[in-house]
Amino acid sequence: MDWKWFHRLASPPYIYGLAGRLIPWFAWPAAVSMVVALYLGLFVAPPDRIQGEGFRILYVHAPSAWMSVMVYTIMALSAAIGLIWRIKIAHAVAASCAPIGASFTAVALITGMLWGKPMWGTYWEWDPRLTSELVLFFLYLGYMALRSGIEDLAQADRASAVLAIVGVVNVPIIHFSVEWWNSLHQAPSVMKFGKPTMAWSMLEPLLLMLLGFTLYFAAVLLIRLRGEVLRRERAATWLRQALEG
Amino acid sequence: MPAVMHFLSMGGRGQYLWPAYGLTLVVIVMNVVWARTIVREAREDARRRLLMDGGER
Repeated sequence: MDWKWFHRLASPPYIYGLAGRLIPWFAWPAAVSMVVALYLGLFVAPPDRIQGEGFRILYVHAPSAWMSVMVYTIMALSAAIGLIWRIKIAHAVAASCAPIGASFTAVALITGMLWGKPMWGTYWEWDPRLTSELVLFFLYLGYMALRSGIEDLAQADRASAVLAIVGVVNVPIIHFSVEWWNSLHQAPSVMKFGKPTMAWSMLEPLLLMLLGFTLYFAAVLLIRLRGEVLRRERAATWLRQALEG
Repeated sequence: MPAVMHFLSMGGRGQYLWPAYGLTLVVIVMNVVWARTIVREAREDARRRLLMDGGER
């Protein structure tokens, strides 16, 4: 089997160039889907029968919550790949994921609180879903603190990778928390087997927003990855090329 | 104007809904700005490194 493509994928100069070329292909579709989803979500989708207009917080809350767990899963996977096969670029991907994931976990928590106040009468409850999402936020912070606390890059990569991998147990806990325990949080209406329990006019903006957020994440990750690759690279020849290009 | 006010009130939930949308927008924009700053700084840093090394290698 020809492994050339695989080695090329692990080479910093190739990744730097490829990431730069790919960014617009994710950024523009992300922007378009988010704007269309925003329009559909605010103007076209009908008010909820029980929650009224307030349910529209869903269109920013659910995609942020999706980001928080998706980004963590990608971060842990990359960290594991970096740790097992000693691929530096995988560590660079993991390191680039953390701040994005952390910020959207904060958004998921805060928009959730803003939704919870009128719905449940309280901003915060030590509910399984809310608590496990808060733990996710601290996992991100811990990961970033650990990285910035270790001077040696290779050592920081390895130590933070272990933390990311151990923390991944929290991901299924977040997802199934509403089923395993008696939770205030409503059960999933999209991320489950079988048909979604939502009218299409309400579901369409949500799916489009989820798509938009995912593409947006890819674009921001690629930008960050370029910075991370540059920071790590010591070989003068390609650095010179990259800076000129 | 009443139509706009009606829209903004979001059935009395505007005070919760708009901060949620606002925060999300801010974080979306901030992440892009933040990432681009990191690339710019990495480029400047790399340039300095090259200058310090000097000469061809």
